[in-house]
Amino acid sequence: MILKMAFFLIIGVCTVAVAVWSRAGRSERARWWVGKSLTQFAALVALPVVGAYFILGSIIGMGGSDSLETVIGLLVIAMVIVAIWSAVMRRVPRWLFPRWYKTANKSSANARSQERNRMTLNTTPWQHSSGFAMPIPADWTHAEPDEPLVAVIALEPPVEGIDFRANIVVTIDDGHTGGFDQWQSEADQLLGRALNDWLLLDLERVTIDGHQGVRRLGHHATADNVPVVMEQWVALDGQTGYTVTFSVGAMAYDDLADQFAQLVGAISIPKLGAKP
Amino acid sequence: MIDFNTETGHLRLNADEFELLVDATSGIAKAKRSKALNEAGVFDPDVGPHRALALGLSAVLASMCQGQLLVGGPRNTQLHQVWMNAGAAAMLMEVEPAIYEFVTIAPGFMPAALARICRLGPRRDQPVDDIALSKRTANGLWSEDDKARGEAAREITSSAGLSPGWRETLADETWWTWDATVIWNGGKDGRTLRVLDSAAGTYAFDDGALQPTSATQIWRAITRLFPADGEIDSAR
Repeated sequence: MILKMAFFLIIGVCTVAVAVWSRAGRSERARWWVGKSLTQFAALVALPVVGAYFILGSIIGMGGSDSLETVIGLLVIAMVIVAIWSAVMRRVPRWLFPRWYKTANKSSANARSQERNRMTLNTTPWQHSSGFAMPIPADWTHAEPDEPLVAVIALEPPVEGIDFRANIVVTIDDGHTGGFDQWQSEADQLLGRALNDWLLLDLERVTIDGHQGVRRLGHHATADNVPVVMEQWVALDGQTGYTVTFSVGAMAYDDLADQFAQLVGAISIPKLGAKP
Repeated sequence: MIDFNTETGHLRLNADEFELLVDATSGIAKAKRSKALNEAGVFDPDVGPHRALALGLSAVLASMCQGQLLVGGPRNTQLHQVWMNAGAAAMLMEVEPAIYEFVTIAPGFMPAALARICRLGPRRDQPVDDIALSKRTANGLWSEDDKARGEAAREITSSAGLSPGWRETLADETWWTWDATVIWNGGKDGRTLRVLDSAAGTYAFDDGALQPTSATQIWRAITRLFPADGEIDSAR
């Protein structure tokens, strides 16, 4: 009897050891169970339950007290309930996953931002004939095209492997007699119609160089199906509207967002009638 | 019951059927002969998966990173899974209880896809104060269990820093939570983002507290969930 129980104990200890090793996930081999619900069930539920069953069974078999048997019995019942729940729901309860899997080194996406955006931006001043002025990144090319409304287009240098070059477009237009809110309401509708898969992510009231304005952030797909984030800073002075539009590849926005804000912070809007 | 539109590539199926499809694609003979997959036109034992699914399934089987998104309201949850490699990304979205839609997208569109699922967008207010959460409340808010989420939400109602808009939101049960986790390097590395959201404003959970935030910051955090080039082990 003792030999049989000792055999059970060895099997139980080995099984639990494999379960602990898998759960700890210290090596790629130990993370064999990641990715599939069946293997997750095996590592996180089946192995611990089977191991515990053998260990506890051997302890009882070697002569435990009644109260110990009760406690062990309750433990086994609880584990079996979890096993049945997991089998029925076809997924392992989230609380059963190890911490490294759930929070993956506790690295939160919020925390990572601190490291990436501390690059100081070298800028060069640019001023439009209307008097509107803002800095633009020094290494970007820029041009004042002969197009109505478009005051300047600035384009980042080509980067190998990047299929969308970040750019800044400034437009200046007159005749907004309906007021700021009407203008922006029309602008919102226009963006939804003109851009593929437009998704408005954020919209907030801001003040730009003392003028009421809005900042909007949205996502769309270019004609070549490249995902792009567009950040627009808009201000109205009398009937003249100023729109600064930053466009950047969707995954790169986080790298440039603080620098865009830095540029906007230095915008100068001419006072009414005071053109240089 | 597998619902597959061979023209659009839209595929609806349950979790077992999806696992079967993945097994068949990875070459497991028994799965390849599955009647359900063969009859739905999803998998041909002589050819492989339907061409509309091949790219997405390649992302599942050879993913550089993978993750899950748990979206919970006061009385329901949806669990979505995502996979991504350099050439493709795939999502298995829970569209009805235990019914999933398998979608293939270009990797760069993954943040926008997640943003749509999480209903990220402008909010009428932005809360001001941090709200410290006990570990139990935090676990409850992002639990898969409806009851636990409801209890955690009720516990927050008594928090001093809560805005009037959020008090109303909690009373009306018009809030939702989501928890996105992305892992890579075989699960060794990864990042998590937990959010409590409503029309009354958005909180991100960090350092044991609900921290007021904006949709812009959440968008940036969503893109940061995914590994940068240097974070993927070169051996993989």
